[in-house]
Amino acid sequence: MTPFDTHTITQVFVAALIGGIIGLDRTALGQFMISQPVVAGPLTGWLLGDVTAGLVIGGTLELIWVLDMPIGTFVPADSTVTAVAATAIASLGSTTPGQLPVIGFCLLLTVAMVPVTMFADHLMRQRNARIPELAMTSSGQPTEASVTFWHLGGMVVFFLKAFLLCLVLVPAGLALVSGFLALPDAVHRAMSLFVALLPLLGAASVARKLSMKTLDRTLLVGFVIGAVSVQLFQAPELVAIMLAAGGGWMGMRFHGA
Amino acid sequence: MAHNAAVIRTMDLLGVFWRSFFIQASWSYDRMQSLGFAFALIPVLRRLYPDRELFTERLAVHMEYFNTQPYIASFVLGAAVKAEEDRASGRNAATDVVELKKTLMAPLGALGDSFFWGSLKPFAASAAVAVLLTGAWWAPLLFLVLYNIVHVGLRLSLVFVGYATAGDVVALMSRYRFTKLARRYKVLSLAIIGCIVGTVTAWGPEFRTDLSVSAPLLAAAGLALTLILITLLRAGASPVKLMIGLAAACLILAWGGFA
Amino acid sequence: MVSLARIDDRLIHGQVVEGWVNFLKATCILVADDTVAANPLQRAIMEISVPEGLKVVIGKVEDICGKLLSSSLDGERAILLFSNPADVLRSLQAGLSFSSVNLGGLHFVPGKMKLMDVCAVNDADLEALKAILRRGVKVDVQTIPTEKPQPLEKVFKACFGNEK
Repeated sequence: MTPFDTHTITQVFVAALIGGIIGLDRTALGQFMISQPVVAGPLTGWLLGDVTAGLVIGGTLELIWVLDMPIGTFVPADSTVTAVAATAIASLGSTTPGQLPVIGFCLLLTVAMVPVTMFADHLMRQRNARIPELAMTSSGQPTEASVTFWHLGGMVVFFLKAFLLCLVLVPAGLALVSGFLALPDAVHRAMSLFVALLPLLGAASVARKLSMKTLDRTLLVGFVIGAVSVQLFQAPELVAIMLAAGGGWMGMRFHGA
Repeated sequence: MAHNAAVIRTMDLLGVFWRSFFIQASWSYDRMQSLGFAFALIPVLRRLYPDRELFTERLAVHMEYFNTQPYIASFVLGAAVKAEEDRASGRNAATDVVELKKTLMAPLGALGDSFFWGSLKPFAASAAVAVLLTGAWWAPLLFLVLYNIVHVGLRLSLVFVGYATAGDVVALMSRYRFTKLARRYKVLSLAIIGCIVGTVTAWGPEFRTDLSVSAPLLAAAGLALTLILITLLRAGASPVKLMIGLAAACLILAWGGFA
Repeated sequence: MVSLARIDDRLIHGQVVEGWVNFLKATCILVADDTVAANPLQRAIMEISVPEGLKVVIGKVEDICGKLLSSSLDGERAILLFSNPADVLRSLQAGLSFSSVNLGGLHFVPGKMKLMDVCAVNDADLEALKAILRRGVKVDVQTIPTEKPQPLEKVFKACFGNEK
């Protein structure tokens, strides 16, 4: 096991700070969606020196969780904390940047993080119920200052939740990664393959929520256009994406949807 | 009884817009966005009610239970500003702002959830991930741009539209065809998701498999696996369970020497 | 055909249109509520805020029951919404029958008793819920399809012990 030296401890704190700050954007402040894994992952990776890990983890988790929505009273899995923590673990735990087996293993670790984040969220939002009462001054009435103070004070709670979660999850993950590094090569190859398969789970998660059909017509059109343009015409992928989007658009026009 | 001639200025509405970014700072199960709503209205209430007691009374009124989609809340904020202005000036003191908020919040929540969370977000995400899988580092920026042009633009204009129409949803819907736009974003997302699967052979080096199969076969296998996963999700399997399942399958393949 | 009968004081909102509609492949939302039925503005807002292609029928509790019993809605997969448990009881008395009712949300206001985070009841709600259970109808607390349903009996037991 790698010892937790001063450098690593500092890095873990930095990771938790990043998690806490990006975590604010998820619910409490702004909601510019910097907190979505596709942004939060690469940002964390960049700050901790492993952009590849961030891109791979963020891009993969994004589609899997994007339609797990915060609707009404329902609070979904915290894909922000999982993306930041997984990226931090991969960045700090791997021996070289962009080490795919470790990235795959960190993605697998998110499975264990999901229930932890949901529980923490639930607990915090129950606690927050007291805030409006606190905003009432002794006369039983709110004042501008008390509303402002207690309302904005709520952000501290949201920050601390994400910060503390990262502070627990990252070291735990790092301990597991150091164990993982000692495992046989087959396991490492399995985790690289896992990375390559996960985008398909993301695609399936989005398709399942956006369409009522298992094999949606538009999905099939996009698939055919994508496959034909890169395989038959050697088109760059960006062109293929544009063509597929155009194909979907045309389909919409013809069917009057 | 026009006891107050204060008029709402553009700056006040911009103040509400700025504060709307904090609307969920103290979100909780019981009260949800109630405190955030009151907080966002402070600049307006300050303008309309110089009298401290009145100010406090109106502030307390706006701390009532409130929850809707956080972006579309801007429309309700604008409407509430108008209602408060009418009330303070004595022009239309009968408008019940509490009732108005209650009427608007759930249907607008349905609208906002399905437009922003259910359509715009997956569209921006699908496009960004499609680009990311090709190995482009700027995919996150693409996501932020696609998403926030619509998000911030609407948040700003919704405050003003809510104010100008006094919360008239019919006028709002004829101005922004949310349900039609939502449908379009969803269709585009599905086409891009299909394309992601179709271009599996061209993904960046991080996502490439060493399986020695021909490109058309690999794409077909990708589609087959996606459809199997969709079927399993439909049958009630959670993404977490499917991740574990996929990892197990990978281990078996690697152990058997296939990967 | 009613695919889901749901109690939710917000009636049509995100959890219904984004959560349940797709999950059940619903074609139609029925809102059985006297207050909304009598308020043209609220009806109009509800009708235009749902996704394209989804039918919305709003009416008084008895009217909606009548429509369902006269089989004029047979071709639809409907989500039936009530704003409170007492209305469900009324619909049962009017002749509808469900094997189970989904309790999606009753929000908290001071004076109500909190059974769960998403479910707070007053005395009338509590009596009606007990009466529904006595009729052999299952009640599950569940906001959206991917969340685990909590049987109401269990929630009662956790809140009141075994007195019932």
